[in-house]
Amino acid sequence: MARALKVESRPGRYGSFGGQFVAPVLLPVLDRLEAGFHSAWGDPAFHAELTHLLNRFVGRPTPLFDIPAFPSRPGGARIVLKRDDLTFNGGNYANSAVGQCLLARRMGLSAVVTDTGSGQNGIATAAVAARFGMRCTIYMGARDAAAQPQAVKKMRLFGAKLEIVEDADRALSSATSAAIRHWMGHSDTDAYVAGAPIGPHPYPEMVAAFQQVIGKETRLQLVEGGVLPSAVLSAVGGGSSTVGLFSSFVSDPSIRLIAVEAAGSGESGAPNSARLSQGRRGIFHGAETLVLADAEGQILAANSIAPGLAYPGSAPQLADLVSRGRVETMTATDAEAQRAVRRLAETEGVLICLEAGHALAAAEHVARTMEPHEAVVVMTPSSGDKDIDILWQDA
Amino acid sequence: MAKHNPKRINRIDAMFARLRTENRKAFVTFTVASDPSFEESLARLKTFAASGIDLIEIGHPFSDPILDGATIQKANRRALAAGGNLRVTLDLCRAFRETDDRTPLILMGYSNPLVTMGYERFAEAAAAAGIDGLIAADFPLREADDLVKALAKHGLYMIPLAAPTLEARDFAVEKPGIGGFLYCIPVVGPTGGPSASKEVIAEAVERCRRQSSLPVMVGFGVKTPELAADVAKVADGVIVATALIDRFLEIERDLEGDIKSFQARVADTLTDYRHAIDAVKSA
Repeated sequence: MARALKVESRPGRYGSFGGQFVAPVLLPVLDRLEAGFHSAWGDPAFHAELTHLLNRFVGRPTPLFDIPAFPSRPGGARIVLKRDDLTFNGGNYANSAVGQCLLARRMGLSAVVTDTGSGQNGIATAAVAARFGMRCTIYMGARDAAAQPQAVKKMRLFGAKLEIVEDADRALSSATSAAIRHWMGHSDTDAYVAGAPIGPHPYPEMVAAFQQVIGKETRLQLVEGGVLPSAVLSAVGGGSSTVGLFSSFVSDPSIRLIAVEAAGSGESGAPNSARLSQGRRGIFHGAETLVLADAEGQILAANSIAPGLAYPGSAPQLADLVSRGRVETMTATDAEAQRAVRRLAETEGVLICLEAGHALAAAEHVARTMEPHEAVVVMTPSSGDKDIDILWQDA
Repeated sequence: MAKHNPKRINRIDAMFARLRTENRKAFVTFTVASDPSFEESLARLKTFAASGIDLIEIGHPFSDPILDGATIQKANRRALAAGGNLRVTLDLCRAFRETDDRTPLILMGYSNPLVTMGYERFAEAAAAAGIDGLIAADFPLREADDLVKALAKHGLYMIPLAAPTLEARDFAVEKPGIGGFLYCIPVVGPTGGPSASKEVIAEAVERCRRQSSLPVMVGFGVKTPELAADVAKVADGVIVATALIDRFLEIERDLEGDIKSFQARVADTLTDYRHAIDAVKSA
């Protein structure tokens, strides 16, 4: 218990979460990466190239978009989407893929390796690697690959080598383990590209830095529109868009920050992905954080209709913000997320991914408790094109 | 529960002292507890000790053995399916100690079950079960202050993992609770990967010796009795894990459940390595 209350201030720690829980052979690699990242982050030329690519290759800035016809009942706060679904190649994952590939190239590495659940981080990394002429290896769980055949083809079109993982949950968690094993054996040539601000330091800090652009744009766009949001919501998978969006609002105590977790089928005892609200303190994939694990410390398989949310670990920064009470958690079920995505498509002509459907379903509940002059912002990390086969099943 | 007696010599230290007087090198292997069952695991530990193994590394099963290759991943899965976990692994060690108070036992595995149990509770229970040290694959010394303190209090060692690319501060740390030996990994990558050349191994051991006075044992990629002998020429001990697990599985398939012959063939296999390692001292 004493440990839980202790707040450390070492680099790479968010409160008592974070750290570098890796095979010691990776420590020099992480130390080099940390030095490389800090040098790049302080270099205006690096930022200039990053911004250029974010604007011209990724398609930023992305708009804020009102959806007045979406709520099923009149009244309540206005709901605004932050539309990273309008980027090219991998939604918001492109932000950190561009940043990390630029950094890898600057550090003299010739190849990148990553993992993907929904396919989005894989697509983002494969596209940037193609642009930079870097070799790209992507690990994807067999279950995810079967559910997202278009994403698999798209990564291959960009020239990436796809490794399908049959281990354990056959989903993101085992893909991540396999990618890290690959990296351990090839760290002299390959950079590991993290899709989310998870893993050992400096990954959480680095991915959060590359995703900050979401929050900065959103804040600026809200100010320009004269809107002060009452709440900001984002669905939490690995946490890349959530950390990115929340970063610009975390120091405004009047703005509620709500992390929406996948409840799976919603039946009690059925597997879900709610590790921020129901997880235990643990060490997983390189960091001390909140994880889905049993009483013996074995990792539990996460489950959600949205593959990008089905992951048993969490970003250490989010674990800290939730533990300190700055970030609230809500859950949405598979069915609620599907209904929200379909209703948005029917009423507004916008098809968002199932991951964002969880946040949208929660946002509708939150908006109902508010006044019409208030606004809530909902993160839309990517488009629903990848989920069409799940959303529309011919009878 | 018995309090740690600071005067009692850790079995790892006692083993190296004994081997030095005998002019021999240590032969170490690894097995995952409860693979394929608790009883079979216990029988295997006894066979190991009776067949020339000086120190046993016991893996506590984990759902996500991220630093292990296919062989040890599968061993973990079989062990979990048989009901294995950290608690059961401690039970297994306690059962082994009923008949063997000499062979050092080192617990090897991943950190999440340790965090879940709590470092203090874990260290106390491990000492009571007769465990002498801990190798935590994903728990570098720079993160391990609290864990090392708990281990020191109960007379256990955290065994540092040493790789040629590591800075001395990441393995050659002198502190109560850190010791036993250096686990030298001459190749990068998960367990069960390619072997390093004997020149690379000699260089890696030499580097360990320059930074630390602890005995040095070499693991990762030591597959054949010949390579084990080469390692024994330069190091204080040889760790053969994946190659033996693969070999034992082959024997198991050949014999189709004939347990008695299985233990005999396991003993024969270990004897081959033992002889190769022992032949080195006279060379």
